[in-house]
Amino acid sequence: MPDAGPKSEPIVEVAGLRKVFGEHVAVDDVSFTVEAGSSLAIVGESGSGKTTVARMLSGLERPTAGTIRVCGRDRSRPVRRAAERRRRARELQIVFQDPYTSLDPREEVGDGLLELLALHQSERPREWRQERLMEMAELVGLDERHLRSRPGELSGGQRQRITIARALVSEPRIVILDESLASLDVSLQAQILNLLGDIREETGITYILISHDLAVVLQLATETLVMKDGRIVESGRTVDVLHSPEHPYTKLLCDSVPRRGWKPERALQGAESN
Amino acid sequence: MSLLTVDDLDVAIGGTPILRSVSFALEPGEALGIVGESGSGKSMTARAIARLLPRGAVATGKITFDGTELLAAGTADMRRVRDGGISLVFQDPRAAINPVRSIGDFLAEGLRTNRKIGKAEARRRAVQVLEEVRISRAEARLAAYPHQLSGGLLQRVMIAAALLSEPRLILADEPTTALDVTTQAEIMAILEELRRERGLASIFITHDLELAAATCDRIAVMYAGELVEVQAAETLLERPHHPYTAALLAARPGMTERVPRLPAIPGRPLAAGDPIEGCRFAPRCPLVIDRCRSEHPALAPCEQSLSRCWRAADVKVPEAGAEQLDHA
Repeated sequence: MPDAGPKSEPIVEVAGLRKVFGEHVAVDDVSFTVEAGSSLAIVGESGSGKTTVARMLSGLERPTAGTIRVCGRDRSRPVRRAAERRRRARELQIVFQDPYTSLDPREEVGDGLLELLALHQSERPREWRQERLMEMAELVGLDERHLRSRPGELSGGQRQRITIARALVSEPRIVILDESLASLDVSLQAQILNLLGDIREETGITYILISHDLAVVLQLATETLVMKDGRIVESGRTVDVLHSPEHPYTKLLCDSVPRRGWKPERALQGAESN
Repeated sequence: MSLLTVDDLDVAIGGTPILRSVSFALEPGEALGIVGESGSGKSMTARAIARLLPRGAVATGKITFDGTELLAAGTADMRRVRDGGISLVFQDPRAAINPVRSIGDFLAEGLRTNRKIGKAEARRRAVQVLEEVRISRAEARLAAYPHQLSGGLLQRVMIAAALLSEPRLILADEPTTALDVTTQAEIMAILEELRRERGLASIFITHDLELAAATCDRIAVMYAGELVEVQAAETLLERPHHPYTAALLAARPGMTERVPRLPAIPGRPLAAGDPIEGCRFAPRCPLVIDRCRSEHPALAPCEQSLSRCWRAADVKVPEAGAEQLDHA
């Protein structure tokens, strides 16, 4: 990453990351660092490898080669012990795209949050956890009525707020947002983007945003990596990458964003035929 | 004469209103974008026109396509409308194609059963439409199966299939939502080219106001089951005349700069079934006055727009990155 003022400690360090599925190289020689309190966007299209990188960071996939260090500790290998897994959960959490399938439909969302609090904050008294539950609800803009609802009774935006609250229960230092805003309507997306900004201001949390939506990336991420076919093709400060892209693929991505005066033919000029 | 007129269309499921008195007309060759958020009724409008309403839905009003009254049409009339009148393109091409049949079989099927066209001729036309949607090596692709094609390529096959019946209107419901942004640009470019070359009319259903404005002649904005604004795409982005349109434009982050806070729309969207006196956007509207809470406004002309708002003339132009609208 190019320097952004005074150097702070890298909270995520990825070097030579590679993931092979059978014959297919999904991620190839990916290296980057993320400084604490900054936000990194990984952008690219389907098949670019961006989601595989996110899954390796969160331990859902094991790298074929390369190293991942989070908060100074190696995470390239899976954990066996529950205590170590919980410790990792307190460092990094992931929020997925679909708030409809990532919640238990039979459980009141408040109960689900309390369960997580009991898991991650077991040393704290019950009253503290109850109080913390209300704080978290307030942080994501929900009230007691919402907490007593089952996921099916909530709107998409409210459900996504719940999944964000769940990710924050363990007080992680890093949250990965894997297309977490993609399925939301414009008005809800604006609410969630503001909310994520507020949380960052209050907690100094680090976001890693996996997205194909460049406007959302510009709004939330200070740094951006562009991936294509498993490799990083361009990286730098988000404003530089999006406003003066150097790689032809980044240019094509930027040109494809509909905006005032945009015509689809223009983007097509550079597109491949398949 | 208009190609399609929708007149006072109401749709209800189990007595709950889904669409409320939707009226608009589409001219031959015109591209209309219907824009709205989830639950606004945009897809239901498309489904009513295609006569693909969910079970239990009751539609009243009048939909006239090329002289045929669709809501009253019998099976034979509807078959005629679907074969040479209105063709459909859906959001997820993989859900709309049989995965175990080849592209060639899929394309030839309709021609051979509906039009009794011979095998060789059906194949020739299939190649022709694949070329029309700019699929290279069209002849060879006929043998391919859906899983061998990318999402964007498959959506082009679906558009090609829609062209086979030589329709006058293409009804596309979120045709690019599941696709990558570069693929979206390709698909929209192809649809635009087809409109120009074949004089096709189109209705494009989307949640993306900027995309609709860039690719359509006219935009209809829906909120809570009704049309709230209809205006030429060219002027809509600069001069919206409904506060909801203005709020949608402002809430979307831009490509120019990061803003400290996005002007989110406060509150939650109303469902079409929620009973409310007065304007349906009033509970979330920054321009609300007493009249809005008691009297339901009609869709009425205001300058170059049709707007369902008592204060249509007072709606402000959203500036890129403006924060003044922040009332969240």
